[in-house]
Amino acid sequence: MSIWLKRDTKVIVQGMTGREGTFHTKNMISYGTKVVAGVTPGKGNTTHLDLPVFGNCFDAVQKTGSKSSVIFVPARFCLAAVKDAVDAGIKFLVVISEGIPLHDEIKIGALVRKNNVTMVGPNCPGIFSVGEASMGIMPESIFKKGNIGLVSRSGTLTYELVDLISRAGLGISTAVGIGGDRVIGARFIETLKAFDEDEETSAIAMVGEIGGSDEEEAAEIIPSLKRLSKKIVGFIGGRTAPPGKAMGHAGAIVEGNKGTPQSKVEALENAGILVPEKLSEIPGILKGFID
Amino acid sequence: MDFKEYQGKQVLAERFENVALGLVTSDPDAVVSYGSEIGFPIVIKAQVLIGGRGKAGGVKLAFNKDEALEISKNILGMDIKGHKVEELLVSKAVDIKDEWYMSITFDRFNRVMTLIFSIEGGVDIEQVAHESPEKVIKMPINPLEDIEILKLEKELLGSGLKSKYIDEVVRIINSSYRLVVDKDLTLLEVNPLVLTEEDEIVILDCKMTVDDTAEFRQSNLFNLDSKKEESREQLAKSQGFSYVHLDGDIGIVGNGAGLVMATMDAVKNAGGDPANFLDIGGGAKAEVVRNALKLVESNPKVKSIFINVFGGITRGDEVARGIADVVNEAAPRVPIVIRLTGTRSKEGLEILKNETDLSVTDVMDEAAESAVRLGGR
Repeated sequence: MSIWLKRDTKVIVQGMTGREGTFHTKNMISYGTKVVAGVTPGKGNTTHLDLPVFGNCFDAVQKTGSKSSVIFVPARFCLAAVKDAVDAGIKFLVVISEGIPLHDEIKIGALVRKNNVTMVGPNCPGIFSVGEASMGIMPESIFKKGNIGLVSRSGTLTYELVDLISRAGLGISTAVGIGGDRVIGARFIETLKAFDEDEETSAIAMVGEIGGSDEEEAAEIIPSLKRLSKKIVGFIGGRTAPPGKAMGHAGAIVEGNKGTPQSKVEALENAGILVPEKLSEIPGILKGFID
Repeated sequence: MDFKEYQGKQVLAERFENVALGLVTSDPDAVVSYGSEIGFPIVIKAQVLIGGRGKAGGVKLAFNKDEALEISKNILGMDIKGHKVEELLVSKAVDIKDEWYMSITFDRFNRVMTLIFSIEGGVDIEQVAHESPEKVIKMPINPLEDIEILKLEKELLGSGLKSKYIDEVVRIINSSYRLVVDKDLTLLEVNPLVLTEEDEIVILDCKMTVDDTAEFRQSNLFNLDSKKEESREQLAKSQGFSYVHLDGDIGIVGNGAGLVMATMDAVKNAGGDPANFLDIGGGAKAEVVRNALKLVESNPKVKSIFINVFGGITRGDEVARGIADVVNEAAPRVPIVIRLTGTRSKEGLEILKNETDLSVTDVMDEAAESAVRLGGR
């Protein structure tokens, strides 16, 4: 079927009354997503897009019973919005906002881990369960229903790959854009495990990029997946990007050699995963898994 | 944004008394008179945004006026790994008994800030970390709580720091972490943190990076750099997109860092060399697209431009509007290849078809190949 976001998931939109929030909430609703309320501090007891707007998440959760929220607020208000959501008992959070200061992101990450909240993002396109619902900004026109699970650190590469998969006559169960920021909630590990438990997903495409060690860490758990350990294709974006200049020694002491494209490709290949150089080779490999 | 040593020290001096501040100047005569005032020997250090300046000859000791003059003249204008030295930091030489290392930096693996400390600081700290990891403390800091003092004291003792210095070092580390959080720093590195022959602990050098995304609440820090040069990178930032200059000749404009990197990869695969990385970001307006395109075109090495946009939060019609405006203002100097799809791409294609002669494809690899071909390869 799908992971995390289902047809009947009740969704709160934090920042629904803003320009981006309004535009994308309309799209989410027209796709069939059960949006039940908006939250904008200072605009409680109003309505927007024929939906109730609350001044905080606590009221919205009490009145609607929703446990899922998608955040469109400007970066500087994001930490407060996440705190609001977590305190109100939200358990599934999608953060679209981009440009959040690092120290706010660190706190956001620690807050959701401490409260066992599954967070997609920040700085991501969200999650799209084909034929069911959307939380975020992915364009519905490129999707076809199918049984490929897609997880990606890059927003636009997600669209690119979805498009290629659709054109190849395959389809997606759920696409998750986990975001490419320095601190993110759900990483490859959590997302791959969720797909492994979704009976309707029969192969996975994972799109990584240079920096961080999420791909390397995912490679360590892939062999232990129950169903799909041999049905994953990987891609690493930015193989030809020049290495960034390092300031001081601290980065080298903490990171060592992890994070380079070579290290990622090698780790994934050692876990038995094909990592083609071109995105356009992925649909062919996926077909091989499904036939 | 990275700070030069003296700028970082100015920030540190707000909270610490033991910072070797000294004089910042571009005038060799000022170095000489400052030396006479505070007494020789003095240390003269090149102020550049790059490590390894000591090994490159950018840090020297002067024992008298003549040496001070000669050394200053030598270092000013020196090229250190592509960075021209325009400023010197001059301070009194201290008698060093020990060199320690302290930094607080973002740790991607633990997703928090991490403290690093070692009593074997100095230029070879990376080697120490590699060869004798037991001499280097690495302590992740829980962002929802303060540093655990008891644990820190234990670790410092365990790393070989003498007990009589523990209190002072803990105080320095604690204040440093407060500063890092308050000022939105992603890196604070003090190397060396020096123990002098007089048993004083002195901040002798520092590297500091402030988080660019926090500019809205740290405007004081971002105004520190008076000598900001208007590079293409900075011009791009001020216009709301990110740009990295590269050596090739195929200009690239795209939305989303991942797609732009994949676009660069596609150009490489097609036998070309990217001239730049340019990400117009999410939800870019026509104005941003127009400025981005102009910036790429202004690079004389560019022979063709590949615009690759997959609309999500970015709308295809906004992008098309920007492209059409630039092209109609003045005929483009080089061929432009456009690949546009996703949100509102139909409307965008309509604009391009009605208002320009530009050709558009919707397959990325094909577009990359035609950009490389039109670029003359």
